[in-house]
Amino acid sequence: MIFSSLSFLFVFLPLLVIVYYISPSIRYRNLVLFVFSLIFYAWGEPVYITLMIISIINDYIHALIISSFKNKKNMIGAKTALISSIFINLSLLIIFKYSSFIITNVNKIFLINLNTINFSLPIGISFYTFQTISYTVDVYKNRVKAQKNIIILGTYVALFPQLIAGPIVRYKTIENELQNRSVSWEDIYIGISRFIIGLGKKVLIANQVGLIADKIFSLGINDLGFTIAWTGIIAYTLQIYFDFSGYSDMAIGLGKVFGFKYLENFRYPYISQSVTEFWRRWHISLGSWFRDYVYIPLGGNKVTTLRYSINIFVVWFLTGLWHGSSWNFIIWGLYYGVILIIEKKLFLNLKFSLSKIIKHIYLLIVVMFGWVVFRTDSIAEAKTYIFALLGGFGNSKLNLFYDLSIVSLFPFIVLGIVGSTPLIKKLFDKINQYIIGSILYDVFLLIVFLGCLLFLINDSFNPFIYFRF
Amino acid sequence: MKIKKIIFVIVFLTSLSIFGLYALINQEKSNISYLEKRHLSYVETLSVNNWLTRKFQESIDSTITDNFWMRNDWLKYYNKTNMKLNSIGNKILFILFNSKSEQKFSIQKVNEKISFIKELSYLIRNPYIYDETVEKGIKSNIEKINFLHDKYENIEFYIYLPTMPHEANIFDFGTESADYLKLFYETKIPFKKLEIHNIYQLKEMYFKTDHHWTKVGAYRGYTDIIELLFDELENPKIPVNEEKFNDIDFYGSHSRDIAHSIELEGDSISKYVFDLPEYKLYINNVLTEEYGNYGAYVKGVVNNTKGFDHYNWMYQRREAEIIFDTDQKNLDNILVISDSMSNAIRDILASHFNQSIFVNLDKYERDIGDFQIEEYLNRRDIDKVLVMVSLGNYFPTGELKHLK
Repeated sequence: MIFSSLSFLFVFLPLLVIVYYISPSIRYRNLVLFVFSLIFYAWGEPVYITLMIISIINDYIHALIISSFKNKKNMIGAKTALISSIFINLSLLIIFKYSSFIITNVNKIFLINLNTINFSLPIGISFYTFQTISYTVDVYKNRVKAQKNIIILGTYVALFPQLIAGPIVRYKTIENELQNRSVSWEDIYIGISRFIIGLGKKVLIANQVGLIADKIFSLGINDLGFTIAWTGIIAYTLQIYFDFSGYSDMAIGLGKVFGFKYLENFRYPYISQSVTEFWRRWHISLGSWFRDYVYIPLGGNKVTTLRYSINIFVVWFLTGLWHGSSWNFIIWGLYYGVILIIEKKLFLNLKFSLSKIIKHIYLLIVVMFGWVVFRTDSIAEAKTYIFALLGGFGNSKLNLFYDLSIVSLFPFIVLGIVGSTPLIKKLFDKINQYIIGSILYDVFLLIVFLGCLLFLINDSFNPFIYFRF
Repeated sequence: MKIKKIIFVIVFLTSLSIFGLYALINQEKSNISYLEKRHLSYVETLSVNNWLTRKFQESIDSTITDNFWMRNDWLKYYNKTNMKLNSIGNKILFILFNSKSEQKFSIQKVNEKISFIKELSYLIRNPYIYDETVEKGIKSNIEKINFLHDKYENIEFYIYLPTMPHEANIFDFGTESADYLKLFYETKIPFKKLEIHNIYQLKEMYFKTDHHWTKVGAYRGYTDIIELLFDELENPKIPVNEEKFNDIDFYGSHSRDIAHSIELEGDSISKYVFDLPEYKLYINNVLTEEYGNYGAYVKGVVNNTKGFDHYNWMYQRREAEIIFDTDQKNLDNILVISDSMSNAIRDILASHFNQSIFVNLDKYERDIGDFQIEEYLNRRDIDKVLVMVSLGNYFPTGELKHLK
C-alpha cells in the first residue's frame, strides 16, 4: 500500500486512527499498530511479508542472545551472535536484491553461464534491513537494551509510516516512545498538516514533473537536444527530491499522529553550496547510518590520507549499491566519493572564496550530472544523455514539447523550484503566528489535499473507444 | 487556536471515513460508467488466492477511485485544471523561448489524450509519439500485406488510409506521421490516403467531438476508395437525398475522453441516402434485417442521452464479420479489413460488388478466434482485398497485429 492511494487515505488511515484511539492502553495500541503495519505491508507484498517476519524474529532472538552473553561477560559469544544476526540480515538482502546482479557479473568475469535468479525486489527490504542491523549492533554496543517483547520489536521494524521508504529510524530514537508515549490534539494536527504537505509534494509535484522526466529520458538520440535534455534533468532533479522528501514528510507526519517523533530526513538539499553540505541535507537518516555503522568503525577521518580515501570509497560504494543493483548506482556513489575527497582535501586547503551563487550553481550541476547516471539504465545511456546536456546533439525542436504533451506540466517545474527552497515554509511560519494566518494555512492545506484528490481520482479515468461491456 | 486545530483534525478524519465508506457502500457489480463505456470496479471476494495475487487489494483501490463521490465532476475539474495549466505552460514556453509564434491556433491540452482548439470549438486527439517501435510496427504490418500480395497473384490488394485529424499536418503539432507515409508509398500495393488540406475541410469531414468522420468525410472516403479500386473505370454513387436528425446532439468519444468538461455544442447527425441494390446481410453468420439502426433514427426512437454513441449505433458498429451479398454474379468479391472508420460506408461500398466481406480483426480475435487470412482467401472466392484502417492500427498495439 502506498500513502498516495485512495485506499490508504479513505479506508486504512481513518480505520487505524479509530481502532488505535479506542484501544485502552499502550500495550493494545502497539498491538494495533503492529497488526495494521503487517496489513499495510502485506497489501502490496502478500508473499514477501514472510521475509520481514523472519527478519523480526531473527533480530529479536539474536538481540536476546547478545544481551545474555554480555550479561555473562562472554564477549566472543556476543560478537558471534552479532555476526550471525548481521549475516542473516545481509544474506536476505543480497539474495533478494543483489543475486541477479552478482551472478550476471560473475558470468561476465569468468565467462561462465550460471542461471540468474529473478526475484522481484521485496518492497522496503533495504530500509528494514538497515533498521534491524542497527538494532542488534546497538544492543551489542550497549546503546540500547534488548527488547523482550516481540510485539514491541515487531512494531519498531514494521511500523508502517517509515516501513517502505524510510526514513531509517534507529531503535534508540523511538525506544522510549514504543513503551510510553502521549499524543495531544496539537501533535495530531501537526502530523496531519505534515502528511498533507508530503502528499502534495508527491502527487502535485513529483508525479507531474516525473511525467516530463519519463518522456524525455525515453527519447532517442535524434530528439535529445540541449534544451529538451536540460528540461528532462531539471524535471528529474525535482522529481526525486519531492518524491522522496514528500514520502519522508508523510512518514514523519503519520508518526506524529501516533506519538512517534522521527528525525528529519531532508533539509532543503538543493540550497546547499557544496556537495559536503548537500549530503548533510539529503537523506539524512541514510547518511548518518553509514557514518555510524560503517565510516566511523572503519576509522573515519582520524587516519592517514590514504586510509581516509579508502574509507570514503567504501562508504560511497556501499551507498551507491544500497540504492540499487546496477553499475550505474555504484558509479553514482563513487562519483560522490571522489567529489567529497576533492572538496575536503583540495577546496578546503585552497581556502579561496567563491560567491554564493557560483557555489550554488556548482552544486546543482554536480548533483544533476549525478542524477543522470542514477536515472539512466546503463553507462552508455548516461554518456549519451550527458553528451546531449553538453550540447553535443545540437538544440531540440521546440515543437517537441507539444508532441510530448508536457507543456501543461511546466507550471509544476516552477512550483518545484520554488518549493525546493525554504521560502514557502518561512512564509507560512510567519503568517501562522496570527489567527487569520493560521486559518489561511488550513485553507491552503485543504486546497493541497483537494488538488491531490483531483489527480488521484483521475488516475482511473480510462475511456474506451469501443464498448467493453 | 487549539479549538480550531481540534475542529480541523475531526473534520478531516471524519471526512476521510465518510467518503471511504460512501465509495465502498456505493459499489455494485453492475455499476457502469457511460462516460467510459465500461463496468466500474467492485470489491472482489476476500479469499487466500485473491489476497496472494493482490486481486482483492487492487479491487479495493480501483473501487474507491471508480465509485468516488461525484467522480464525473472531479474528472471535469481535472480537465479544466489541465487546460489552465496548459495555458500557463504555453506562457512559460513563450517567456523562455519566445515560442508562441509557432502555434497557429491555441491548442490547449485538456488531458493526456485530447486537446481543445478554442478558435474552432474543436476537440482533437493529441499526436502520437512516433518512435522506432512504432516505425517497426508499421513496417512489419505493411510487410505482411506485401507478402500476401506477392503470394496471391490473382488477387488485387489495396491500401486506403483514412487520415485522422491529428495526422493531417495542418496544425503545428510537429507530427511526424507524414514521415511514415513513405513506407506506404514504397510498397507495390496501390495506396491512397484521405487528403485534408486545410482546417475547413477538416471541420467538414470530422465531427468536432468524435474521431470518426461525418457524412461528408465518409462520402469523401468512399469516393477515394472507388477511385483506388476501379482506377476511374467506375463512378461512385451519387446521394439521392440527405436525412438530417436535428433533435439529436452527438457528443462523441473525444468529449467522453474529457468527461464532457468543455461546454461545446454537440455535433449534428445527418446521413446521405443512396439508391442501393437489394442485398442479404449476414452479421457473424446470422442473417440480419437492417444494417445499423438508421430506421430508428427515421422513426425518432433513439436514445439522446449526452454521450450516447450515435456513430456506432446509426451505422452498424464493428463486428467480427459482416457480409453483404448483392447477388450480382458478374461483379467481383471483396474482402475489406477495416476498423470502425468503415462503419459509415460499408453498405455503399458493397453495392459495387457481388459479395463484400468486412472483417474487424480485433472483434474477430475476441469473438471468433485467430483470423487466418490465407485460409480465408483460399476458401472464399476473393478478387480484391482492401485494407482500410487508420495509421494507429498499424502500430504494434493496433488491430493489424492480429493479421497472421
